[in-house]
Amino acid sequence: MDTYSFAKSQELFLRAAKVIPCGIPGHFGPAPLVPPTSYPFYAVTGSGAHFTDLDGNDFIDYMCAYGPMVIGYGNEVVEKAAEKQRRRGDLLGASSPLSVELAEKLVDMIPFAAWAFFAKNGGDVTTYATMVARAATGRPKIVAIEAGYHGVAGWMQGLGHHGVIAADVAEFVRIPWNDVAAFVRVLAENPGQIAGFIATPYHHPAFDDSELPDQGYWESIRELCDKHGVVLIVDDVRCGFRLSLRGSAEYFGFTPDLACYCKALANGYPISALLGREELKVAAAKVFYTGSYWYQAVPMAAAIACLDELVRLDAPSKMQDYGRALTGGMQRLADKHGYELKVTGVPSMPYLRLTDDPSLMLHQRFCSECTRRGAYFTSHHNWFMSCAHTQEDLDRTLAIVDDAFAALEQSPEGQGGS
Amino acid sequence: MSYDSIRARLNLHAVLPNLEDVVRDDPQMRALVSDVRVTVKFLVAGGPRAYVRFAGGVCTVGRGLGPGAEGPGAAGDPAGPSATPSVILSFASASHLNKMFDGTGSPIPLWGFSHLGFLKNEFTELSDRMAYYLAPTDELLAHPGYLAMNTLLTLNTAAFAVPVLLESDAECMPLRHALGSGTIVVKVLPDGPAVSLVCGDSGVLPVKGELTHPSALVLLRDLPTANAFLNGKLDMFAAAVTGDVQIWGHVKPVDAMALVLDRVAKYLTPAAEAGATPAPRPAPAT
Repeated sequence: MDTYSFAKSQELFLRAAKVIPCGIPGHFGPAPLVPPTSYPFYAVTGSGAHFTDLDGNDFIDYMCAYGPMVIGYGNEVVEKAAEKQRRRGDLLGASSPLSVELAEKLVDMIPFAAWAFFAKNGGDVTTYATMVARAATGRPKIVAIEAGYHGVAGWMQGLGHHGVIAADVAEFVRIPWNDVAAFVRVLAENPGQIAGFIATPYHHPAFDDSELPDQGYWESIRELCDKHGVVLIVDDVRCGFRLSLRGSAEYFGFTPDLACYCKALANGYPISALLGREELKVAAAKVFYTGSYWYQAVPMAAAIACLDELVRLDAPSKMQDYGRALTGGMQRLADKHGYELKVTGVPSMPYLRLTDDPSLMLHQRFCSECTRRGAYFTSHHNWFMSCAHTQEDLDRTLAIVDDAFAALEQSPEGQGGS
Repeated sequence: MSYDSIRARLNLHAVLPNLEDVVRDDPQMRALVSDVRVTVKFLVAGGPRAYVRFAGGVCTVGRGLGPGAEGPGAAGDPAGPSATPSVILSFASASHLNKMFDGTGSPIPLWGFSHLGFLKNEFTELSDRMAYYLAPTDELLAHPGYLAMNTLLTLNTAAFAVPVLLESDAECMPLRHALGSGTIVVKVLPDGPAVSLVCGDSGVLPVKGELTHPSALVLLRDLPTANAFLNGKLDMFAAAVTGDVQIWGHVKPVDAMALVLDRVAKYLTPAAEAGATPAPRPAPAT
């Protein structure tokens, strides 16, 4: 099987590094790609579940722009709705009527929610959620999960990271995932001080296996929050609409007080949302929180169309089915070639890891070999399924995986080389 | 912990161990101490302790007061009758020690007055040589031998600074958990120097050289690349893309290590900026 090269991507990156900090900052940057020499840095077109890079290489995309693409790049229904609104006007002199339509739609879809607030990024609404919790309770502290990701603000990154000072994290307490006793302990040690508990529906940290909630975990957390007057915040930014159209809390059988959405909301258009219970609407209204572009109507039109499509397609089931077929097929191929492929998380957002090499270097080589053949796999983040992935994509992906395993066998000691 | 205390620990536990390499790799310095048999002990009041032992033409640097029963404060004598005679240098404070490393202060010899000649002559010459290797200029780096030594010593200093900062710097302490368990190897290709950081429940142990079965690997293309990388002159992002710097294995511990290393300059750069390279320059008051 032919492998790709990335000369144009690398050339442009070297230009970028002169004028943009990091060249490509953040999660799209080359740092998490191992080795970066085996990955594309610039995408120029996208269609369905595919994107084409600057060098003209076509990829079946299993990162889906790290989640926002959920029904396909250039999806006709979403693009038509967005284009229609674009002609009418995007960011105008007053709020768009579409904000009401979108809020009503979300409140109808997510059973616990009585209201919706719109922003741009996931981090906008996770921070807003903590502010609403503080406003509602009059308390300072927020409990979060160790290695739980909620964005990039100082409180989300932790002390030791550049630009973060002790005051940023002073009122945040981190506890291990699935550790109810730790939450009990924190509540006891901080009587009347805990405003909120924030966590993702299941634990999906970068660099580590995903962990589902233990039996009874969320029920216990809910119970403790009720007992101590703590606002329960679910960060559904990454999982939202990939597990259930009624929200991931519903999928795991609990009811939050606030829920954060973003990635799959508008198929790539910039919008996020905080949804909340009726009892918190006044507190939410009192927190002044806004942004220059939070009133754009085009993303709202895209979100409405996207949500309708997610319902029509029964999207979570479709993505879960595809994920099961993909990971199951990959595990069979791994077994055929003498490797063990561990799959954690949920099928629509699987985290994969070859366990044969605890250093992960073998897994990194495997992912890079697949990427060089056209299946875009990263090695340290959960992947994302979409409704646009087809049977043809699946067949092609499994052929690539087979070939990549064969390539590993041909150079078993290749770790550390590029 | 105060700035001076952390800096003193870095001087003793990250900079001072480079004497081992200078004695081993610089023939002139090896000859200088080939017949020397003595242990120099650094004792900071309420602060860190370290020893530098010379025996059989080999220099060994370690934490604590090391083997040798002589003198106040020495704990036992695991080396038995073969223990080297000692000279103890006492420092009233961390700041006092740092001034010596900056070349602006002198220690108080507490024990081993018969070795003051060694301190004043051979040890000072050796320390000056280490300081020379740790103060690169473009002209000096043009010489392959100097490039190799500067790269080696800077690499060592970086590796040995990691546990010191994880133990003492408030902003580094939270990063300890991110290092996890395993061995990070930083290696200069094709066969240049390497250091290993063994991370475990009991802490982080720096080791000169390349250990097997690393959990993370940082590969630097060659000596000039490594030197530029270690001296902060390399565009890391471009280097990662061109493959000049490769990172394999567990990325999170490498990220945490990089965050710790970014703090080293806060403690060791001011002296370098002032033109005084961190190095011990004992000048006994007597």
